Amino acid sequence: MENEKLKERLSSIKSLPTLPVVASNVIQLTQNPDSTAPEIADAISQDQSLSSKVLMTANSAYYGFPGKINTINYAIVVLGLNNIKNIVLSTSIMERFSESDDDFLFDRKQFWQHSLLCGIISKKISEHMGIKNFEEMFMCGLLHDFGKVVLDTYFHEEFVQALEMAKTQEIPIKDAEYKIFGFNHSGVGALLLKRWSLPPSMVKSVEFHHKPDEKKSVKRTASIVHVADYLCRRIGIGSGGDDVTPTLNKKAWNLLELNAEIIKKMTIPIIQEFKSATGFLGNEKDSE
Amino acid sequence: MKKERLKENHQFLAKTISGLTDHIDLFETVQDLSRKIISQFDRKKIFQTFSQIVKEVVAYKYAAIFLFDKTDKSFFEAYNTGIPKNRLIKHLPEEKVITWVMYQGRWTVITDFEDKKATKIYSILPIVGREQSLGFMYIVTDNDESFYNRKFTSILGFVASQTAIALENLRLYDKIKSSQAYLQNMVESISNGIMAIDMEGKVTLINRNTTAILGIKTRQIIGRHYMDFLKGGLKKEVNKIHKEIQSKGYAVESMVSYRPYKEVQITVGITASLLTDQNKETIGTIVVFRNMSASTEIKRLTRLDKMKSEFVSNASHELRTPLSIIKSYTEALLTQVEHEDIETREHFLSVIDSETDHLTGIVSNFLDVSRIESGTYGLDYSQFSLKELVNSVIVRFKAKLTNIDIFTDFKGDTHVLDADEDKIREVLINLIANSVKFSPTGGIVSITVLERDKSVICSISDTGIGIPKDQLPFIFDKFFRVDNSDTYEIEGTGLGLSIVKHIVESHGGSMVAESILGKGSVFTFSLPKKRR
Ligand SMILES: [Fe+2]
Ligand SMILES: [Fe+2]
Repeated sequence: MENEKLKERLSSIKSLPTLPVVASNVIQLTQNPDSTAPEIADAISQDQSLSSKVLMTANSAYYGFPGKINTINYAIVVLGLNNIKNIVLSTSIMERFSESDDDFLFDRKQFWQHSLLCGIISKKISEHMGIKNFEEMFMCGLLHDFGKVVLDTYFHEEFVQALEMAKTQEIPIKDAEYKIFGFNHSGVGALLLKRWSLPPSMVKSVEFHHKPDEKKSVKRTASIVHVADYLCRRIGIGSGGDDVTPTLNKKAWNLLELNAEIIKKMTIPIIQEFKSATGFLGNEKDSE
Repeated sequence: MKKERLKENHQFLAKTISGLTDHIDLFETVQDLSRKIISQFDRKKIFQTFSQIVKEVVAYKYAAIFLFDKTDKSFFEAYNTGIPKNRLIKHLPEEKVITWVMYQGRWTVITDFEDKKATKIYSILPIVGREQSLGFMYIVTDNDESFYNRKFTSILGFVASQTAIALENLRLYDKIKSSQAYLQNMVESISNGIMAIDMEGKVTLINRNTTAILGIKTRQIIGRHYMDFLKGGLKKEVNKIHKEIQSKGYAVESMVSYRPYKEVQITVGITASLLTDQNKETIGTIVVFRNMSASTEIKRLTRLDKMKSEFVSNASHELRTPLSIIKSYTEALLTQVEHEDIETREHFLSVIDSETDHLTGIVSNFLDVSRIESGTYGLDYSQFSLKELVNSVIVRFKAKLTNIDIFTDFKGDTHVLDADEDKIREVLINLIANSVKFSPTGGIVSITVLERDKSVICSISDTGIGIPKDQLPFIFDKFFRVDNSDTYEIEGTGLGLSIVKHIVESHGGSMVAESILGKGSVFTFSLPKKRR
């Protein structure tokens, strides 16, 4: 039901947002086991502004490499393909959806801060759990609420209604969205990421970040994103567009084997990393 | 149109599948090779295999493996390949770069391909264990920009993780080995024999004392069944105890007489206890062997000690008797016997004379013993005839004895010896006195002297009370006196026979005693004719 409505609505959009061609090429290349570093560097170099963003992020304190990275090629072999993929993907998406409409209720800057923080917490939890591919978990966290941007861009009036409803009725935005659209941002985000042929595990983790115990195949990763999302509100940096702290899914919490002590220990490194990662937001120049 | 698309899809699928198959093939190969790493328990071999596999992925010019030293927080080169001997890798990256790469934990190229001056490409492959970084491989390749891709990154990461496992296993293995050596040392330092056997009866541990005590010559005992190499009564007894402990949970110490080597007879004490694992499950039996002969020696020493204290009391008694006789006879001579009564005086004086002889004999025995013990007992050699010596000695006995007959029998002609005459006289006096002492009234003491090629043999036999068989081996021990409390009260220090034996042996002769209880004893000594 929900899904059909969603598909119906999205098909009404004449031009669905696409990933910039260069970014899409790069992502495909990084996923191909045989692509060489120069091939990928060539693809990135097609977009001058992407190239400079990649270099800027590669040299940022977030990665902290003790040396200067002057070429894209070097950035690729030093940071590795997963990091490069993440840098390209996140900078492209954020650049594409960063323009704020001066909307009072949905501040894009606040939104991407929320997303970035959620990405970093997801990564930290994964590291703590010994999950190898923690860089992908960063992307899951970063893109978990991506659907909100899509709704805000393509169904702006209705989305503003949902935001107002969430505010006045003091309900979570996802519930307000559901009341108005018959679906919510998690499904929208997932659908779009799927179209961009991002890894299925990432797509599913985004789709189930509100109900992580409902999909077995991504129980772990969706739980990480869910708990990270919850912790974002507790830390109080950024905003997802609503003020209601969502209820924490107990099963997800238990699955991660966390406790107050561990969270307390993690908080400082998380905030430090957040500060060093603002390059991802493309506004490093602003803060300088 | 539709057909076209299908065809396209089909081509795409076929391509994807063949790509996938290629990757699966590659991963299977790598997995096989990695198994080779994990199965190694030798550091150099682990490094060799690791380097070989890496070389199949990245055709390096040379590579070196560095390991972290936990104690001084540095790394050292543990292995290299492709470098001329005795040379280390030059141009090691900055330490902060290494630290950064180790934190990232993945294969990282640290040379910029686009750097025109770079003739070689350097990369670091971290070896990260379950809990800590173990080290890294430093790889140097020609400047070939095409070798960095996802496939190689994941393969190298996998191989490095397998190497880490192998190294950690090796550490555990070494730990186990050293604790085993520790245990072995402990087991070896125990003076008893210890042998552990598993539920099937196969030996899992044995110490050298076991093989020494039991005289086992079998080389490889570990892994063999105890029934295979144990012999005789011991085998039966161990089997019995093993069965007993496995069925009842305890076993009583048992003793078995055993001959570990020719002409060595020992008593072995055997005890056993159950061997259990950490879950208290029985996994075997520990058998402990004790050489009880050692405790027999202790028994002998304790007995000797007891004999010494008995001697002190005997000796004082021995000395007191003649002394008190001398004293009372002297007193009587001085106060009671009339000057005129010459007969009584003569008799009293002869008693005093013989008691003084007795006393002198006892004292000289004591002196001999102490000389023997201090090693100052020397021999004064001269040529004399044993026949004449025997005759001169028995004259003295015959003068005093009226109720015991002494016979002599000399076979041969000369009976000439080169020996210490005084000492041999002492031997004869002691032996004859001994025979006389234990003979009842009307008994006979006979002395036989035989002549052989190089020796003279002398036997002194009596028709006395004899010596019990169990006491016969000890009669030449110092202070030993035949326990005859329920037969006669016969005085003696118990020093005589031990001195006799010592004198005979210090001449290079030998001494034996035979006896039948109630019938009599024969003491025989032989002396070489010529001084050695
Ligand atoms: Fe959400
Ligand atoms: Fe959120």
